[in-house]
Amino acid sequence: MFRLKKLGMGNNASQLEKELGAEPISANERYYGLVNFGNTCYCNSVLQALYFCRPFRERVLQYRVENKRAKENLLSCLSDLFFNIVSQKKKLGTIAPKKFIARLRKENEAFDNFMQQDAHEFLNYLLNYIGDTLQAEKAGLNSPNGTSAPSKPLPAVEFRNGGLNSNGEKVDLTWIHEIFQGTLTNETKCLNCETVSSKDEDFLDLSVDIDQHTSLSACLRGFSSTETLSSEQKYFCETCCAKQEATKCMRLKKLPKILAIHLKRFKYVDQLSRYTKLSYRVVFPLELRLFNTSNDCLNPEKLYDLVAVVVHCGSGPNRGHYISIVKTSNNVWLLFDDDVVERIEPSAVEDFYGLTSDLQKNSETGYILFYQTRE
Amino acid sequence: MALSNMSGDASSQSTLDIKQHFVTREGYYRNLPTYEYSRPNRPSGIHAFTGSQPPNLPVKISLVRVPDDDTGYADRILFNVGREIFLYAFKSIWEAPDLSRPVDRQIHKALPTCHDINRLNCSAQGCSTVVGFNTGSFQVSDPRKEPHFYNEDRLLDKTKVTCVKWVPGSTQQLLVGFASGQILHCDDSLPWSSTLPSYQAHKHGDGFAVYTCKSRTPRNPMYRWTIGEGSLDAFAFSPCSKFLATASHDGFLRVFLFETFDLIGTAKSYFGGLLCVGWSPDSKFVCAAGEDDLVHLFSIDSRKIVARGRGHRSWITAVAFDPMTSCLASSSVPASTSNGPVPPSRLPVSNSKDPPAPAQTAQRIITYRFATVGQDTQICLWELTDDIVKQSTYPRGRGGSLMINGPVSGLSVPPKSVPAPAPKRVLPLIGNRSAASAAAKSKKEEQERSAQEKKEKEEVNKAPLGSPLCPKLEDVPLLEPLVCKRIAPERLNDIVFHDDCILISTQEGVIMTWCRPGRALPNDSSSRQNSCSN
Ligand SMILES: [Zn+2]
Repeated sequence: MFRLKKLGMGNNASQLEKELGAEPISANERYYGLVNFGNTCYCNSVLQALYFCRPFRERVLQYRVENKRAKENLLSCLSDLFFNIVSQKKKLGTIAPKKFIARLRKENEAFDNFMQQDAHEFLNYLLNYIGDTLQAEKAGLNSPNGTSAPSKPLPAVEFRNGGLNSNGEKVDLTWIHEIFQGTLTNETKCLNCETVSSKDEDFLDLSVDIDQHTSLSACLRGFSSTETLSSEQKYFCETCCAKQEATKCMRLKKLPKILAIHLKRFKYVDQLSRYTKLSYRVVFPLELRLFNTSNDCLNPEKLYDLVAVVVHCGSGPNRGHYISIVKTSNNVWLLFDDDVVERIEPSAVEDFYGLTSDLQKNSETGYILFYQTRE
Repeated sequence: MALSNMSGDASSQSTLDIKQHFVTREGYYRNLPTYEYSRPNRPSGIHAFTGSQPPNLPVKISLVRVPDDDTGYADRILFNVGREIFLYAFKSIWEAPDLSRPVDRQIHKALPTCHDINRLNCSAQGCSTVVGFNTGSFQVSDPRKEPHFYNEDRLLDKTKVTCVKWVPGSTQQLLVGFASGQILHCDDSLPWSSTLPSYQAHKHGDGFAVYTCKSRTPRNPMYRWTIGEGSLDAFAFSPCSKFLATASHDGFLRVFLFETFDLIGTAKSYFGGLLCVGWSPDSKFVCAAGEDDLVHLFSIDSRKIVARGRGHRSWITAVAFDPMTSCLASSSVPASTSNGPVPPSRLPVSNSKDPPAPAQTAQRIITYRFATVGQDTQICLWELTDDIVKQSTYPRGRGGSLMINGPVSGLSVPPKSVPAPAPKRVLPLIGNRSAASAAAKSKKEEQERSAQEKKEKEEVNKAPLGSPLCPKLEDVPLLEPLVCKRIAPERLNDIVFHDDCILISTQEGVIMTWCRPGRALPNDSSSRQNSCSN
């Protein structure tokens, strides 16, 4: 299924080029659609969104300079692709990410087919792959052939032991962690002895449950709402040395430079034995602060700007289509639909909040949101 | 339970917890489904727009009281649904509306976005109205004249009209706000030219500028305001007519002295755009709210945010103060301990067209009641009490010293006279100019303007968290709502308080009538006179 509004490049492109060309530009801002190699829009949409996360783009480009003779891996392919885009003469065009896709299919058999994949799964795989690659290179090892693909279905929050190697030892954080890694603190309070124990967990992106007619802030507060552990779920309190009722709350202790938020729009329904899509309307602002930070959070009032959104169009995780909308360095919003690039008004972002009735068709909904710290 | 899809599941669930009543200490508020206003022949059932997307434009309500020979007064309600505008006799809770008999009904090519009724120029026979459209055009109509459209060529502004208001005390002057951040101050009695008038800077300050029309004889638009960065989402005159408060997408609330264009107060959302703004009946507080799901209360006396409120689960679309339940200082029982059904004293009704009587101005409001509605389909009722205002010990806001007229007492201000069309300030003389130099001049103006706009952009970043413009969350009291209830299946758009009821519009094109406590319906046993004290 493709978006109905899909337009050809044609004269539209020259008009867009004119519009974008008139703006003051940063040296390497290029707007290149990515050719689809058979259901690879899950990949294209994530790559476009990441390309417009500027700290990420800059580090990926830098990797190419610093690792000229490195053996080909997915990161070197990504770096070549980004370099290919920034070194284009024209501001606007189309590029075929052929080498990257080929490498991706070789690297991970989960993506080695022509089926539609979950864009969030791919994002998670890519960020972890890059993190592992960089750590392995730092440790003087070769590319991490042992990197395993995330298994399906994904757990609620895919935590990776970002700062730890397989032996649980602290290793140097890589730039992937500097950009995307935040820390959650999981506070459990025993209702018998009132002892609070907290455990920190690192994350590269947050997966949050959503509800109809809510805002992103409300979903994030829901993510951090206090949960009571009782009956079957009782918690083993080390002070009481017994299973006790407890309250649990997960809040942010360290906010990342780029906060990637995955809205959990795909829900497994037992009766149907498959995932269905929640097209709920979840409004997300262009500017964001978080309410769900812990008391010992170092920078709880960080201000974020929305820079990119991966949008899912259609009815299911392995069906439908992915596109992305991004904010360029001169505050123009662009829509990337594989090889098609369109300019959209900032107010058109609201077209991707979701639907308020299941009778509505054409669900094009924000799926992964990228918020970047304001400098 | 077998599911066809998940959203189906959610909506069936959610229909169950939609409330038809809520309770406060003064009693029960009830929804009266048969007293709903909407477009005639609306399909019945919950989803009015079955099978199609509800129109994306919010349904706004304008309510006005007009003199009537038979009953002394009558109420008129104006609202927009899709491409249509409806004017009905508003029967409140006394009679179910006959939707097949609107006083006026217009179908437009463009989509109406906002409207206002002139309080001075209206009667039972007809009303002066202004309607804004998504195309940027606006229509001014007078019962005695053919309606006239302005800015159809989009020369004055290309963006959608976001807010229109008649200037209080005037039958001719109006403000038209746009998504570009511009407000045009027009006078319908002045000539409109077919070309874009040239403007000169008149006044500017932090994040705003006002330009006057550069012509010998007054012409439209008289003034052009540019406010903030991005869309201007809402503005509102204070009940005392002295102030204009604006809510912008850059997250700023700005309060101006309307006649002099002085910016007397600024505040910033916690994050995101501000979408709505409302005044307390005594013009002492402004409430602004929007994309941070919070309500922000700004004090005119202290020029700072004195409290915030958290209760909504999504963006807040409208706010209104309730003059009926806001308590005056003369009431001996403090609101927080009162168990009585109705607060002892009330303010004059909000839609009364007469200015408040002087006798009432001596009294001080100690409890402010206001309500917000949002995209979360919830209504929240809030109370701001004297002690909360005092709790907020944060330093006085910037610009506070500008107040030279002493403390603002809104109710003691006489009704505003119509401002003179020409600016009082002496403007630099401009000699004879050739067309070429005029063109060069206008280019320079353009440059100056873009420099000014750039400067405005920079100003926007000058509201660091923790400053009086934007206090930290822990710096000011955080209110919890008195009532917080889901009352509709769709987003709520607008809210207006009436003597007998609360009117709330939904995205589906319905205006709900919520009966106040103690108001008996005609078929109930108690009589009408008891509850019609005003
Ligand atoms: Zn214990």
